[in-house]
Amino acid sequence: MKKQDYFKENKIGYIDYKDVETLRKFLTPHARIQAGKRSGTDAKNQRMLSQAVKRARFMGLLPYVSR
Amino acid sequence: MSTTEDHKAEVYELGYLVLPSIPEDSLPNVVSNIKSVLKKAGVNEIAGEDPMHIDLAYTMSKTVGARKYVANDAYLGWVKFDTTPDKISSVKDSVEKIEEILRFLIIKTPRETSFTFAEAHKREVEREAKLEEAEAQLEAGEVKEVTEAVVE
Repeated sequence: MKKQDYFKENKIGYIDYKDVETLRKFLTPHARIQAGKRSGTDAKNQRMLSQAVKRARFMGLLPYVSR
Repeated sequence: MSTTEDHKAEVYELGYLVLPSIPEDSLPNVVSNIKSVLKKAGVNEIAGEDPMHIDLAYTMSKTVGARKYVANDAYLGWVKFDTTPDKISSVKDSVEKIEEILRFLIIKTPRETSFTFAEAHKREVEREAKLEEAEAQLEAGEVKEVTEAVVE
């Protein structure tokens, strides 16, 4: 069965880079961004998610690499 | 052809990290410095949160003159405002000149604020309380089971 889009399910229209708790759900243990196929997010939300993660990394809220 | 008058106001967000070497009681000075920069640029403030202490995910550094600051923690704050796109570069240039700022980010954002650190903190506290309650219930249930077994 196809995985549901987390952002559609929770009616999140804008992914904020400061919302680290949500962003962390979509990172691998090495702090890489999970593939859209794996996370179930649609293409539009996946683009927004990757933008938010990159902004959070720049501001030191998330690591670029881990372990 | 678009002229300056034709520029439509856009909503921007300025997120900033303040150096950890700044004492906590002089943080309001830094915030008022930023706000005065925004005021001078003639922008209209919508929302924002004062800087709060966070641990950084990696070490950052900033060189001011001959001095190099290395930071593992910082104060993170943000302010949302609307202005025309032609004014944003002057905001960027002025914020760059504030020495107490370790790093900053200006982005376009929707007008509605969907996330604040205050709300996130509240959610976290509620979640922890629920978790503790569930643990207590589980423990009480287990104790009851053990007592029943002993009685039998």
